[in-house]
Amino acid sequence: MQTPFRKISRIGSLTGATKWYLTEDCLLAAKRVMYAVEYRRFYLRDLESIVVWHSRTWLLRPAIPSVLLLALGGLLWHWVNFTTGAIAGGAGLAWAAVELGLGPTAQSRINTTGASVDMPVVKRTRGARKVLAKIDAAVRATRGGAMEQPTAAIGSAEPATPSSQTSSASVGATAPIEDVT
Amino acid sequence: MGLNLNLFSNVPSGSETPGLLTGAATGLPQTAQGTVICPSCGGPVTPTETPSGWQNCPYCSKQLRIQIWPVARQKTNVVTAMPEQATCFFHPEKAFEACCQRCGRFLCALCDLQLGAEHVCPSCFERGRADSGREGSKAEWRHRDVLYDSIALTTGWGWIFFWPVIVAALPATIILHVKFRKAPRSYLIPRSGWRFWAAYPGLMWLPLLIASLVFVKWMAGRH
Repeated sequence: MQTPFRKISRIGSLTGATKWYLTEDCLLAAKRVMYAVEYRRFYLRDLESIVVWHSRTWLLRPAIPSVLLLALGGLLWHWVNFTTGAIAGGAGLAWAAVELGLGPTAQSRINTTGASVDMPVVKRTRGARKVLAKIDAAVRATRGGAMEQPTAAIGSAEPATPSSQTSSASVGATAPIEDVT
Repeated sequence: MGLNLNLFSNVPSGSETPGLLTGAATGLPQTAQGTVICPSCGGPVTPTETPSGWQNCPYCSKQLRIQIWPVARQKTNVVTAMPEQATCFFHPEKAFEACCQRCGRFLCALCDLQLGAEHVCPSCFERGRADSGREGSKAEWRHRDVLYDSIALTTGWGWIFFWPVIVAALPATIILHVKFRKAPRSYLIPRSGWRFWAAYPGLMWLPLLIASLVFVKWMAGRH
């Protein structure tokens, strides 16, 4: 089915899931709550920054189920037999291994002109680079002209800043305020 | 409408451009241009290039990954109208800036809301949001969709947990299917309507099972 929306990530939870889509002009969050989907748009021209960081409590995800399963395994070993206990204990260890292998969960903050919203853009921090690169490419495509214009305007006054230096790599670069209208 | 574009430059104190929407104006924490607020300690963090893409907050050492773009901000210093000048419908003392493309009202910079390439006034914007979800409503306005096909699927199979509900589940599934058969394709993120059809096996499997058992028993008795 043809759709202008390109899915870039999905963050599942117990109450529903949030899917992130990219379109020509906006970053769309589709949050499913029971039988409704609520949409939130972040227009690419308004995006200022996205900050991703490790969730503070991510270690609880592997720890709690693993401890519970290991405890259950111990009880089963004691009360039933070794095999059932080993299955439960093994499941606990496997759970911990998978969670640790997938890495820390992520939290993120989206700053736009006039708003700052805490919404997870990616499930795990290891996927952040890829998702942010896609958003960055879309922002550059949207603002292509606007991002390059100031560099041309400052040519005589200050050292020219290449347009590619609009990412985090170029934060130290200087450029004056420029009216683009 | 005026836009100020700032490529991460630290604006010297006293040289702040008029009309630049600062943190104080927006209710957000104030930061220097090209910095972001650390989510952990609230300190200003200047993004730097690192091989891994991650950097530590200089204040709390929280690991952060920052993606930052040039700031494009709307002016808030609305021009006061001169005599004989066209004025805003909502603010008669403010100068005309744009025309609402829905109702035609004159708007000042404060009232001019941009949706993609379209300029709309606040009342049309609210009306558009209220109409959101209705069939044919513009995708730009849409902020919510009800997933009727998922409701039908749950109704079709959910009666198993409390079987007398099947009396209501059967007509409910059929009504949902007939009434909202086109809904999944008109969602903002369109999807196919297979969930409507998948609801019927949920309603039919038990009666079919009972009927087939009766049939087998009848056949066995006959032979």
